[in-house]
Amino acid sequence: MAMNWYKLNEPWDKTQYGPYKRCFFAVEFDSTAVGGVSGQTYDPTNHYTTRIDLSKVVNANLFDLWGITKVLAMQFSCGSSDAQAATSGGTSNDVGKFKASFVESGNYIKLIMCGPGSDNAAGGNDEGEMTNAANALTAVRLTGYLIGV
Amino acid sequence: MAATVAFRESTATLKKVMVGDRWHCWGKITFGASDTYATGGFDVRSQIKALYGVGDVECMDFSEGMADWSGATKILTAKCVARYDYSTGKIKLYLIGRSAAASGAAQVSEVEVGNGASINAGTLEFVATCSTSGSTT
Repeated sequence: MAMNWYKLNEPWDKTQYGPYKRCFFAVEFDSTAVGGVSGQTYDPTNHYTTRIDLSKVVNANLFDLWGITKVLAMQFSCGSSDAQAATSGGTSNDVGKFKASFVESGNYIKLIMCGPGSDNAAGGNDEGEMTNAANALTAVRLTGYLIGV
Repeated sequence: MAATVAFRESTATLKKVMVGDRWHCWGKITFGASDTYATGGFDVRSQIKALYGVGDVECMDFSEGMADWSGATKILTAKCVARYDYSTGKIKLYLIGRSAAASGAAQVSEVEVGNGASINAGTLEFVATCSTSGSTT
């Protein structure tokens, strides 16, 4: 599992935000990249496992993209639904949307789902985290901005 | 796209705030009945400048995209996201997710919504970061 970060809003992809830098991004997920390196043989154990460290990238390093040394916060937009991915409850996500949250203390992000899944269970996927079972995450793409220094 | 791109200022008392030396403006965009998308996007700069009394529109952040089953190019169960292109001043829409339910193919990166896609069901909420130079206020 690895991530592919790239800039949005160029040339204003990085703006000063008080004493911090606000950096606009889009991020994709590569569930076939082994150890963060794309193009290697698919590893069925290399799925999402409750966290994706910021160091797991397949393109330019997240920090090098904007010349920052630490990420303090991230704001994600909701991504698309994806019926080939599911939460840990097993509900496929063909109705709800994926989003992510950043865990500053561990420098990683978590993938979570909002809204109902295929069973239309009310509240069943409220902040449900993506399962670590085999899932294709190639359709999941998120946009947002980070606050860094 | 059909002509109607309706901007609405935030209804809150606070519609814009100065952060550092830039304006941050909140609002949303709605579309007219039967509006469809034309590749290349739609221009927003002049409307934002007029509505908020700001200078150049530097960047925009959109909190949500939209889905729509109608039109020549269906967004289907997936979604499209909006991005502002500073070089042209236009907002363009890009597909994410899958082209159809579970069996659909994952969208590859940076595929623009096709000509004729129906967007009249959509609403785009935004925060625009704008300069003060050229401000009308």
